[in-house]
Amino acid sequence: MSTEKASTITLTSNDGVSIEVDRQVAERSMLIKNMMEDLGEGATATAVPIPNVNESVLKKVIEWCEHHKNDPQPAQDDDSDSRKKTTDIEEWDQKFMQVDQEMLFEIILASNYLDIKPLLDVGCKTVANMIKGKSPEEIRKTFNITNDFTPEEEEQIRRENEWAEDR
Amino acid sequence: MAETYPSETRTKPDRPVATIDVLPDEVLLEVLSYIWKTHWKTFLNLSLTSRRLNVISEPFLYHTYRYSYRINNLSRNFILSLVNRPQLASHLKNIVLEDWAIRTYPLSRWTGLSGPRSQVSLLSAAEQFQFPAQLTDKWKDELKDDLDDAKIALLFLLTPNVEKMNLVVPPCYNPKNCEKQDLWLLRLLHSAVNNDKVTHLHGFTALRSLQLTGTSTRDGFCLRQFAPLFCSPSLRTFSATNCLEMGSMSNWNEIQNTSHIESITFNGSQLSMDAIKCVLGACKAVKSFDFEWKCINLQAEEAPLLDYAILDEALQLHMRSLESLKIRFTESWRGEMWAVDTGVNSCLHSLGKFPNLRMVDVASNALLEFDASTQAASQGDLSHLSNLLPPSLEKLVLNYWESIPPPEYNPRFEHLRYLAAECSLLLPKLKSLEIHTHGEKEQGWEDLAIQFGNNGVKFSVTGRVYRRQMAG
Repeated sequence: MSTEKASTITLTSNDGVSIEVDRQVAERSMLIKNMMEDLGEGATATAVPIPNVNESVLKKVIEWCEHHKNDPQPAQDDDSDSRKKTTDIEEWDQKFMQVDQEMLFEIILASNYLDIKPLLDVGCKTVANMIKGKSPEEIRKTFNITNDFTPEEEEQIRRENEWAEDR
Repeated sequence: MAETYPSETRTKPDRPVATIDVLPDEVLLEVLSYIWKTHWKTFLNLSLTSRRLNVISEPFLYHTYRYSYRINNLSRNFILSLVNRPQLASHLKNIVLEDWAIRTYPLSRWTGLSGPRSQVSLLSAAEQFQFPAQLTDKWKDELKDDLDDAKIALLFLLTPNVEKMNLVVPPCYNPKNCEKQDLWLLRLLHSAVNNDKVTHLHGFTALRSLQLTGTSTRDGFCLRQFAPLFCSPSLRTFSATNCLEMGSMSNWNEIQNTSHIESITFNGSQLSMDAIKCVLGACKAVKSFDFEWKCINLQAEEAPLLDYAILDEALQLHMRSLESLKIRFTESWRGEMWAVDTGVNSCLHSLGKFPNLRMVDVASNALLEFDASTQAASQGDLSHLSNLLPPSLEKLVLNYWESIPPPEYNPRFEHLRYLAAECSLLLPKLKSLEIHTHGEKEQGWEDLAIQFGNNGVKFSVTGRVYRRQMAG
């Protein structure tokens, strides 16, 4: 925990835009944090390319990291079951996630790539909440899913899982 | 040109439009992990949307099976699906059978077109294990009658990866004559012991948690029949509620020192000291032992009594591993008087030698014998309580504290006073001491609290009488 860490680093999105970020904010990403630790102080001088994330998504992710920069880091192997007991999402995060579906999935993919576990959690919870209580047709509609079953296959699945119908 | 290329690929040639299909399997699995495993309908609906989501949601749909007689039927269809596709059975991790009776005759017999064919499937599934022919025939008869007990046995035998089993044990047990009405599962498992002909038994190798609940609070259920499950290799947590074991459990001799169980809990249960010795003896290293004693059987001559000296001896097997010890009584004061033979002066005299014991929650009599409060303690005896406790202790709870009202000399209180003065030396890790009393307010509780507080120990006294006096 050195106090002389460079206070900002530059991230470059896959569409070539460079964004300067507080190091503390950027290090919500375990990928970046570990990279910084591995490369040492010299690394902060050059821009860090984020090849899988475009500018608008990267800005959105940074916005989240900015708001949550003082949250405690999640434990490496925290008890995932207790974390998953609830799909409640705090109010700020709920508002943050009110984006179109494309952006929602992009944020999830970016947080997965950048290894920002709490953001991935929020994204996954948001999608889980969108699934709950919907019929198969409603789920397809919501997520733009093509029904690729043959009628026979669909019938077979219904028969096999008949026990779950009244639960 | 517009007709030649789909518009999405033309507008963003380097990046496909983000739909749920862009999420990799590992992320979708993460998403589904936020949906409760008992939301079967949600997983069913998901599995009906597309082939990809079908494959991903199936393990969730089959993760937990829960049956409650009042809510739903023990579904023959569910078991049939497991028979027809063992892949589904392999997903099952958690089985909860909450409310059922041994003799639940079906409201409707095998009916409809699929009836006879599905019956054949179930019966041949039962045959595959090759239990002794006579037993298999009997089992098949009950499967034909659609009896829950017979189906439950098949359900368990089909599911090799079950990690958590929460099983209600129905009330029609005669505790003295267990053999007569053992669960089908246990009868079958017993018959497989030392029988090479039995095949396809999975051995419950993934079972980590076993929870048994007797539905009858008057009769309790018998523990001895559960020996085959108790020694499952991965079992770490065992809990029993309404368990009554009067005699010795000779069939547990074979499983002594075989189980890796770390946590044992008995709620509202009554066991003979022999049975407790068998249970503790079957385990290699118990970390937590939590027993709530209930006098289920009071009248019978052989009604088990709690003897702290024998319990102490049994606990010594786990001297190195034990971290938490809790002995309570359901009916508190009366419960303790009924459960413990007051004529015998015995206590947990060797706890001081348990190097990793952090929490002790017991009746004060378990440490300060019954007669200790009536005899004036000499100065030398004041260290009695402190000597019974290990230096690793962090929390001590003393229940059912009986005190002699002043001005009579109260040796129990003197033990505490000695402890308060010496605890930083004798019990350096002690953080909390709770006394639960129904007696008169002791003179000097407040002084004691200050003294303990100075040594970094939170000292609290709770009890009806005490609170009223404090309020007054």
